[in-house]
Amino acid sequence: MALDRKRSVRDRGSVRSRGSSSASSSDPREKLKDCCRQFVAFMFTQVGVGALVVSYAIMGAFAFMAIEGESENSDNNDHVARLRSACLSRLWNVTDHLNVLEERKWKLDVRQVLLDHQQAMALAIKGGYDGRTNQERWTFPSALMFSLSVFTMIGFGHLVPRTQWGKIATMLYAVFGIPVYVLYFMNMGQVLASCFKWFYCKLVRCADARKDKPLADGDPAAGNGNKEMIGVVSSAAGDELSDDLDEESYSGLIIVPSTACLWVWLTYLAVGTIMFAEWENWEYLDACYFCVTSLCKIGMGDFVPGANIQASSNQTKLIINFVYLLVGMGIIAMCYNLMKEEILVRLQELKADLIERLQDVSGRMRR
Amino acid sequence: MGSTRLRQSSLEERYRKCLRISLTFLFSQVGLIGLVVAYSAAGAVLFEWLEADQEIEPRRKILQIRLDCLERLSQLNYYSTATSTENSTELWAIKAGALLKAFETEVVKATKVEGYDGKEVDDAERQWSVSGSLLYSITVITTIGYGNLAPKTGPGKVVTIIYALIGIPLMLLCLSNLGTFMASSFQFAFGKLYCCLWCSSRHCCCHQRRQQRRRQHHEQQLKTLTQPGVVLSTLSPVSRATADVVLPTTATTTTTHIERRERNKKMDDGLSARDLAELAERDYDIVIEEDRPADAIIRTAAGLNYCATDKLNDKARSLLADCSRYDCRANSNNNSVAGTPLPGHISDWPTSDAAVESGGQQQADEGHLDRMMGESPLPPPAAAAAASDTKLPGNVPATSDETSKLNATAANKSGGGQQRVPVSVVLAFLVGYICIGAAVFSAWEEWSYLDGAYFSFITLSTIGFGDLVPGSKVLEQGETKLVACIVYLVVGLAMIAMSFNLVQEEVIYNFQKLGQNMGILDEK
Repeated sequence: MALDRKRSVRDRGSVRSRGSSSASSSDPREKLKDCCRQFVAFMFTQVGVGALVVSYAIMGAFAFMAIEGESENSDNNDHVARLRSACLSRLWNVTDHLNVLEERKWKLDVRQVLLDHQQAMALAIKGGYDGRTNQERWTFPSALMFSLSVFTMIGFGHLVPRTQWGKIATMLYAVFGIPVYVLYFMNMGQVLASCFKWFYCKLVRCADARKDKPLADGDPAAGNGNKEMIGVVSSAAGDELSDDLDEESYSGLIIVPSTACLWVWLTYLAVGTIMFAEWENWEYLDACYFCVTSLCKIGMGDFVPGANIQASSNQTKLIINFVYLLVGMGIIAMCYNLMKEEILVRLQELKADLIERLQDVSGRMRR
Repeated sequence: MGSTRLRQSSLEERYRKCLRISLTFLFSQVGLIGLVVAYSAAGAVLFEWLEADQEIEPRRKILQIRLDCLERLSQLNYYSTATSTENSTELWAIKAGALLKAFETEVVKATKVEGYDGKEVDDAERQWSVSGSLLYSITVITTIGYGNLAPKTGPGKVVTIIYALIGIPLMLLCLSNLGTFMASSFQFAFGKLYCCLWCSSRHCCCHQRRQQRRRQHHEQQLKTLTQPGVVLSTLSPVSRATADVVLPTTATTTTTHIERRERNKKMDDGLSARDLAELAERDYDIVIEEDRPADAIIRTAAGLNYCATDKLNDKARSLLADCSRYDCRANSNNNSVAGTPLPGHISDWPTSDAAVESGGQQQADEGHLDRMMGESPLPPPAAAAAASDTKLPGNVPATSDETSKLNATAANKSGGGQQRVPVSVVLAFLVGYICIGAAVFSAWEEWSYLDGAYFSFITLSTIGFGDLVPGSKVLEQGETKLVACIVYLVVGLAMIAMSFNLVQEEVIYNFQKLGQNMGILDEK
């Protein structure tokens, strides 16, 4: 349901932007400037950034389809065809020369021929041959997945540019796409973090209202700890945290504990695992492995949903995979946002503690 | 004796501070690096143990498939010789071609899906050697993730997941630490280089530093100038009339000029009248009449204090200090207004012992001045400068920080004299690193230069497709190349962390300025 909301808001956003751009052409310069300003300001909001990311990916998909999909199947397929015919002619020579009775020699020779052919094939496969033509390889869903893997820095590698222009285009696409993605990442992280905090507060308030206890007493240790941490955090420029706290008309201070973030992430992972296992007929372990390596931006590429060799391109599934990965990145950003302050504080405490102990030790050593 | 004890304790303080710093460094930088190295080594051994055995499986499978193909070809042969028709050759070719194609598909599948590397069963080389596993571990924890080598066993995948979840934050921490450290050393080296190579214009940092040192030296001397009634004015009466802080003169004014003739007269300690003239020229002119009522003097002093330079503030301050102590009447000289040379050499001027003695009396006077100044209104142009110089009145002995503050405001963006590295330099550095990697790897692996650059870029941006990996060519041995790749990788990522550190403030500042110019962002 969050996905639907996001998608509908995105649609509305794109309509609005289209409207503003059409109105600006017939207005005086001030209004044009104003519209431009509003448009850019809108683009920097959450919806705008999400739309920007999606449109950048789609644009990239089309570009790569044009560059790579339309390129001649040149080297590899022809090369392999030539290899095959060479192998065939060798086989024919061997068969022609030797009598059917000299079976052992025939077998040895043919075995050697096959071995050579296999090794040549292995080289060709490393060079990119996989039995398909470029058009078959670079379908729209695959290209979309490729674009996504470039600018999110996952880099699956199941589909790679083979032409020179494709490689240059990839580098340029990455150089411009990665900042856009980083913007999206931070934006999404803040939005999700505030949503989650609000949700969590509501939950806690609800639970405590049911328990019929004032919250200040309900969790004294955590309250004090939270207060301390708030004191430290706000001094370390955690402005988003203080914003949310200002909205709290609340006696106690609530910090979302890191465990809650971890639970959210684990749930999301579980959902992804089940989804991919069912759809792609993978093992659960494989699906989990895929989810973790993709969400951690490692991106091995041995498992890619909907884009492996034998599969037929299933459009909706790939789009859902795309959305899953993007939202997953957002959730990681949210966890990072919520946890980093706490981690920083703890690390500083640890460091101070360590330094103190080292000073003790050094003092004792000097004595 | 007290001074020697002070010196000893300061030495000990310095030693302790040094020890503390080095220990902290050890446990933050080196310790972290050591931890990451140990973690990768452990991962290398672990993955090699988990995955190397299963690597034989695809080889066996391919061998079997090859033998099957052989069998089928021989059967085909048998049948075709048994039934020899006219176009038996073509028929044979078609059927044999079909068999070959099936064989090829199997090889493709084995390579792509099962990680077959093209070797034979009895080949000793493994992809999952220790160096291969090391590269794999590093690509996991740096999130590059080539994928040319991927775990195929169940335990391998589980271990990969856990290894990644722990290793990635560790690596991020290590890289950010390393980046901070490298950023500061790069900035330092760049500052030194910049000074050495471009130290010609007045706005260079080492020139400023030399000036700073000279100014500090002058301060010490000017502090001793406490001739009551000495007035510093190098301007003609006309300009004096238009100066901000000029007060009307009275009959018993004593003014003294620093003649330009006296400029080249150097004094024992290097301070010449010329220097004084230079300094006075650059700043507001200052006229003090010692018989003015106290509040006028204080107003003037306030105006002086917020003038641009330090020396004259000092001088004025020390003058005022003396004035409040002595009786500030007109002295007996009765010199006329203009054109009077300094009475003799500056070193001839009577020095006040009270001023030479540090602190105490002067502090009390400063306190007196403070209180008095608190009641008087500041002249308008000084109000703006007041914000940055709030602790001037009570700060007579220590003016070096004030000087540096002034220097800092005058200097261009450099805080404390350190040269900020511009974004273009950092970008050029990164691009140069990529080009070096491109050249080296394209030479080693016989790639084109574009492929080498593409590989470097894809690796350093942690995308990591894995189509091009050094040392992974099917029929070649590549252990040293793997190690070189690892070193290049790690150093490159550290450099990227360093560049982020160096440019982030400037980039953010530029973006904010851009946003403000475009009217999107408010002044945050």
